[in-house]
Order: sequence, then C-alpha cells, then structure tokens
Amino acid sequence: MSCADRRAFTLLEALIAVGLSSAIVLAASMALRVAAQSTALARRLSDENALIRAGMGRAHAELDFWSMLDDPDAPTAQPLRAVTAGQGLAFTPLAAVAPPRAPPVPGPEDERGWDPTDPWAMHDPRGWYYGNPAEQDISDVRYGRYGAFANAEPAPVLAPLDFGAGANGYATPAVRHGWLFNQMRTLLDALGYYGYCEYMPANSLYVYYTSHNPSPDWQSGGTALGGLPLELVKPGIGKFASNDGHSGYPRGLYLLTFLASFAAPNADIAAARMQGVSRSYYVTGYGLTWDPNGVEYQRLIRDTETRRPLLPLAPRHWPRIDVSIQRFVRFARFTQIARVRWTSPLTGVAAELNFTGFSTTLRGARQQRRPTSGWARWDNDGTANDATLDTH
Amino acid sequence: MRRSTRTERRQARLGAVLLLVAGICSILASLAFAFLVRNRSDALDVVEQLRDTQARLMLTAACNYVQEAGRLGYDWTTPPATDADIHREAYGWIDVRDGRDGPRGTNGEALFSTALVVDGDGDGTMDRPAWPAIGGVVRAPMHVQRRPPFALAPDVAPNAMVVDELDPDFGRPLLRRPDPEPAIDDRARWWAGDPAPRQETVGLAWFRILRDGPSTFVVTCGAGATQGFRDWQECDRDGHGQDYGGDPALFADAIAQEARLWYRIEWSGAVKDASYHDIQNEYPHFGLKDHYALWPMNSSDSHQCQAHTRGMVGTMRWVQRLREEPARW
Repeated sequence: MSCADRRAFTLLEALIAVGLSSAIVLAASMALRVAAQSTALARRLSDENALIRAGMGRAHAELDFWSMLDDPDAPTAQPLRAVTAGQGLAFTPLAAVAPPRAPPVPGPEDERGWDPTDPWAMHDPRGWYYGNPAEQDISDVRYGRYGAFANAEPAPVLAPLDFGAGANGYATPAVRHGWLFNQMRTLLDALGYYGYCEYMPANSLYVYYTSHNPSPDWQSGGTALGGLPLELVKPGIGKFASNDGHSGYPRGLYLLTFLASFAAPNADIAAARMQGVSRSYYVTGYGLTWDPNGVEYQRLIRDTETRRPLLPLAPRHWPRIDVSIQRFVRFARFTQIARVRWTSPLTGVAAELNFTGFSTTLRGARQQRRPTSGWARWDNDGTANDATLDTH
Repeated sequence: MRRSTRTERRQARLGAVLLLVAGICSILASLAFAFLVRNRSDALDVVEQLRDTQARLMLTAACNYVQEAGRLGYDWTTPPATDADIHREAYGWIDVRDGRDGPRGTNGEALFSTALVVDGDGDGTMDRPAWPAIGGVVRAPMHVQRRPPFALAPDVAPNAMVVDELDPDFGRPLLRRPDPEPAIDDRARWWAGDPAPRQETVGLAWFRILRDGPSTFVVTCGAGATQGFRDWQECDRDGHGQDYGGDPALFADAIAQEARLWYRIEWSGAVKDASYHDIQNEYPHFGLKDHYALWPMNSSDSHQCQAHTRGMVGTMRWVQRLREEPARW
C-alpha cells in the first residue's frame, strides 16, 4: 500500500495533532477569557465611573437645590419645617413663626416682621448697632444702660441697680431703636443659629437687648444685668457663644466661629433633636485640640451630614454610591461640603470624593420653595411670582 | 468515489485553521471595538460634566465681578493726564453713604447712565441702559489675557535678605526694589497690559450679568463658545457675527454644546463685624469686667487681624439657583 493510499494518521501523527490542537484551543480559550474578563472589568469600571459622575451630578444638584434637607415635592420629606414652642427650623415658613408684619408707623424703627425685599442698606440708621460692644454677660453695666436706647421690647424692664445710695436705676424707657433687635430675635426664633447667622449682614454683632430677666438659666430666658440674653452671650454653655476663654460680649461671626461651627441639621435625625442641633454650636478647628478622640467631630458629622444612596434600587454587582451634604459656618465662611462615596461590591473597599461648592445659600433655597409645598416659580417676565418661605 | 488526495486534505486542514483564527480574531476585534466605543462614550460624558463644572466656576467669577464693579471702582483704559484721575472709587450698588443707587464716585457723581442705549430684543428701539445702570447687562468672556493691566511679577520676595555671612549686606532688610514689582518696566505698557487672549483659554467659559434691581442681579454662567451672547441675532447685532464665520448654524452648534446655568444674587455693602477678637477676652479672668482693651484692626498677632475679613468690597447676601431660564438675562 502506497503512502497515497493511506487513509488514516499514524498514532504518532494523531498524538502530535491532538497535542497541538489542544494547545491551540487552550490558548484561544484563554485569550478569549482574558478578553472577556477585560471587557467585563472595563464595563464595570465604566459603570462605576458613570455612577460616580451621576453622584457628582446629584451632589451639584444638591448644592443648588437643598432637596435632601427639604424636598418641596414630598411633604413627608420636609423635617426642617417644624415649629416647636414658637421656634422654627431652617425651612420653616417665616409667616408661621415671625410676628405679624406691621407698617412703619410712626417711623421705620417701628416696622415689624420680615420684609424680603429690604436690602438692609448700610446707610440706614435703623440697621446700626446701638448696643455696647464691650458689655459682657458678667457686666455690672458700669458703662451705662444701653438697653434703654435700643431694645427688642418697646418698653423693656431694666434691672434695678444699687449704686450704693439706694438708687433704683431708671424708669421704663420708651425705646428709640427697636427695628434691628426685633429683626434679630425674629430670625433667631424662626431659623435657628445657622439661618440666623446667614440672614444677618456680614457686619453684624449677634446679640440684642431685651427686658432684664434675673434667672441665671438661659432656658428660663435669663439675661445679663443689662438685658443681653444668656443664650447668646454667655460662653461655654453649649448654646451660641463658644468658650474661647471668656468673650462674653456681643460677638461677630468670625469670633463666634473661629473655633466652633453652627450647622444645618442632618435631615434624618430624630425630630425631637432638630431644635437642639439647630440651636447649639459644635467645636471645630483648633478647638478640637482638646478632643483627641474626635468625639466632638463625630458628633458634628452625625448631627449635620445628610446622606442618601444614589440608587436605592440597583443591581447587587453595581458599586454602591452614596451622596452626602453638610453645611456649616466656620471662620465666618459658609461652607457646603459634598461627598460622593462608592463601595466596591467585590472587595468592599470604599473611596470618597469630597469637595466644597459655592451655590445656593439657605436664603436662596428658601426663596425656591412655596410656603406649602412645591417649587416657587420665579421669572422676570413681568408676571407675578409665587410666594416663598420668606413671604411674610 | 474518488479519494481525496493528500494535498487536498492538507488544504482542508489549513482552511479549518484559517477559520478558527479568523473567528478568534473577529471576536477579539468586536470586544475591542465595544471597549473603545464605551470609552468614547465615557469620555463624552466626562466632557459634559466638565462643562457643567466650568459653568459653576463662573458663579464665583461673576460674584467677584459684582463686588468689584460696585465698590472697588473703575480704572481708565487709557492713562489719564494726571495721577489724581487714575482710579474712580465707587461706594456700592446701594451707596453706603446715602442709600442712592450706585455706583457713584467720591463726589456722589453717578458712574452710570440711565439713558436707553441698547436694543436688547432687536426690535429697532433702544430698551435698556448700558451697564452698570439698573437694567443694564454686562457680558464677560473669560479667556485669559496674555498680560492683564497692572500685572505684577510673580516674585514673592523681590527684596530677599542676603544669607551669605561674608556679604556686607548679610541680614539687612534692604528695600532696593519695589515690592510688589510690575511685570514689565514700561509704565504705559504696564497700564495697558496685553489684552490678546491666550488661545488655549478661548471659548471655554463666560458669565453674563443683568442688574435687575439696586442690589440684585441675574447671573448666567456658561461653559462653551458663545461668549455669552444669548442668540445669533444678538451676536450679529453686536458685531461679533464674524467670530463664527457669519454662520448662524455654527453659532447654533456652539449653543447646543454649551452648559448654561442661571442664578440670582444680592449684594450687600456689609463687610465685617467689629469684634474679630479685638476686645481682650482674657481680662474677665482677672476680675476686669467691661473694658475697651482692643487689639488693633491691623494686628498681625495670631488670628486677630483684618486678614479674616470676607471682602472689603461687600458681600453676597444670598445666592439662588434658578430652576428655569428667566425671560430676561
């Protein structure tokens, strides 16, 4: 039989052919598997990048619209509109807590209530501070009774003073300057500390005069001898004035916030805690030098950072993306920190991108909202615009 | 039936290998193609996000402009005859001295005109004043100039002290050179700057401001190549049609690829408070109650200094992102 007539492989040929074929198939399958894995990895990275981009977009939208703290389209997601004992929160409609608008009769100093169109122009004498900037919570009022000239009350009670000769101070005065201190009290009661600080002009001293109350407790409305509310002026009681040694006099925003912060509350904390968070300071910055374990910083994060999953419903193999926002004032700067955090579904490793943004302020956010629910329309086409949370 | 020859069988095997290799290659090619397409799509998405971010940066630029335009004042584009006229200081959008509409100069003179000189809607009649009057609009393409007017040399220590102990000037704080130093020595050119744009910065971003009240403004922030023109008609009317080759379609393309955001802001003349740790806070510990022991405003001690002032040209009372494009901007 000639070779040409041979119809089969020899055993050796078959073995070599099978071996070579196996090697080729194995190499091909490995190449395909690597390619498929690479493609899957690329797709997963691409998905992750897309989700991170979406998270960034959500964070920017939050900087613009504050929806995590107050969703105008969802009445059940408006925890910061509550009123407790006459005190509001950051998104409480002003009409719900502010004293009624009163016309400026007989003069501008007698105007009451909030006018959202008032520019608080610097030349306007009713916006000037007529208190004593050096008067303290422990003052003996040695430099005079400034509360007799400027006061949140029209006819304030002044503390009886004994100068050693039985003198009993002054009669009840007719206060000349009442507009500014009434505005301060209105904003403080309506918005909490963060909103109070934001609504007041940058040159404000944040303590007003009211009737003297001898109670030593701020809870009871106690005041210093001259009528400065202890809640605002007494340092270190965990309320408005941080403990920086003893700056028990009316402070401006820098001095109030160079080692402490006021913040907008986390929308998810218990309703009963909203007022407390809205009306206390958090030690920050170098004040944390005395907090080596970071307890105070963790309290700040817990109480003031609102976090939401980007996709509440998502495939399990997708990375989990959380977007959070935190707003506070420190060093007189109003800061908004956005965080986009993603967690790998495979390794559990988390990474975070955080950035600050300059966008809508609290007042701007309130002007975006109608007093009941829904977004307030604003246009300059000559038609009437909607009422807002600041309409009063 | 004819038996296949050896050559035919060999060719058949070669054909099978070819098919196998071609199949694998096509699979790999399709995977690679899908990968590249996805990368391309991701890149486009990133560009979109970059535009949005760039537009947002313009909000800060616009606010700075509002602050400076109302308070810091105005320089001349051409050097005036005397140094007394170099700079016209202004006193705010609402004059901090008397509450009149600003900006006004030192003697109360208006640095604006209410005359209607701009045909904003293209109907042939003048319907708005020039910036900075109420109702006026300013458009600010934000390319970087090669050298802005009054540019300073980027030298933080033009009079650095000599540290060589053998040098006769060792340790002496000699002030031989001006600090800061002009970027160039020619005074006239230093004033004028070189306004030609750096090409790599052209067409990236702009802002545009409508003053809609004494101290309120509609700010439009843009990232794209339209230079802040609202539409082709406005662009052409303003003499910039040739920037787009006179082609409305090209301008329409620029609009389509652009990010535009609208905000409303309010300026305040308030700058800072007077406390800033000026009053000595430790005295009460020593039994001293009210006192007026002050740190000077320009103290360089620790944090008790003016450096913490938020802005000597006023502040922003509030910022509001507008949900929809307003009718006028």
